[in-house]
Amino acid sequence: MVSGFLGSGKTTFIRHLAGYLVVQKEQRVVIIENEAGEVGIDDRFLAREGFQVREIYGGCICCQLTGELTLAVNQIAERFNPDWLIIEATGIARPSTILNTLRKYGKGIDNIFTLVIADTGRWEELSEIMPELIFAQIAEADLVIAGKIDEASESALQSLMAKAKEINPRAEVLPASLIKGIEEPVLRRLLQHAYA
Amino acid sequence: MHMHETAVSRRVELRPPRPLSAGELEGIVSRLLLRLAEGLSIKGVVPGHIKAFVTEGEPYAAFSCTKPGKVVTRASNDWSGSVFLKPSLSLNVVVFGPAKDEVENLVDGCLADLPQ
Repeated sequence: MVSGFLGSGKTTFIRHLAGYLVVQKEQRVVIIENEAGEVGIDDRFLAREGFQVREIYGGCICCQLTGELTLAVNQIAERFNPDWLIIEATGIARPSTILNTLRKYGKGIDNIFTLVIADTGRWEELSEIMPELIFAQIAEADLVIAGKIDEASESALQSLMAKAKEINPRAEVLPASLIKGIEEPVLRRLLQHAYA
Repeated sequence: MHMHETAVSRRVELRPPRPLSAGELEGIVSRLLLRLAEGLSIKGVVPGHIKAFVTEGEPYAAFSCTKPGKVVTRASNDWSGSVFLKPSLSLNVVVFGPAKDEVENLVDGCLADLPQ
């Protein structure tokens, strides 16, 4: 599951990760795209990029649309039996409630790995404006990616990494830019975590 | 302070008086997102995400804005050489802070200035 605040770079990340898994690793990948808005945008983008995408929009799968999530996961398991199911949560979601739904009702799931992308470029501002949501997302991650480091100061990156360690000591934090792809060390660490 | 999110979505077909190049269309959509970002920013950032998807036939482009003054565009390979007569524009604005009618008024006001 890929979580993180609105506009943190989740879709960009998924595009690169799914591309790598399909092309380099020859894995079957299906993506569930959840958007809070009534119009799907990321699902259309990823579908046009050639990926298998199931969209759930008009609400959040962590609260209003848990039934739709269960239905989608189970239909995908039955029809496609993918090696990877990548779920992009909305930027307002709290991962723990989605994890609960998946663990209770999801079929065919061997392992769930939760990745949170934190927006380093807006870290200082968002930590002041809405710390509760930002910190809750990080607290529930197996791995945190400090994204958009190309837009951030060194002090913002250090502040994010320190806070993430404080909130969630078990999660590794990896800095990345993401705009030009996922750097090889990040990808390697990500797959190590996911297969652990 | 506990802030609530507001989501406003619109889908419109643009009808420019003459065909637009990809660069011209990109400029129109980017300016739309920048205007929305100016109106919705707090402490110099958008406390949410403003994004758009534009297409007509095969070519497509996705636009994303999280800070005033900066729009990130990802487009298909055939985008830059294309000409657009009636492109469809999907817009999603999800932000924390302002009331729904405030965001709707801003979005609809900005969209009204586009050729439709």
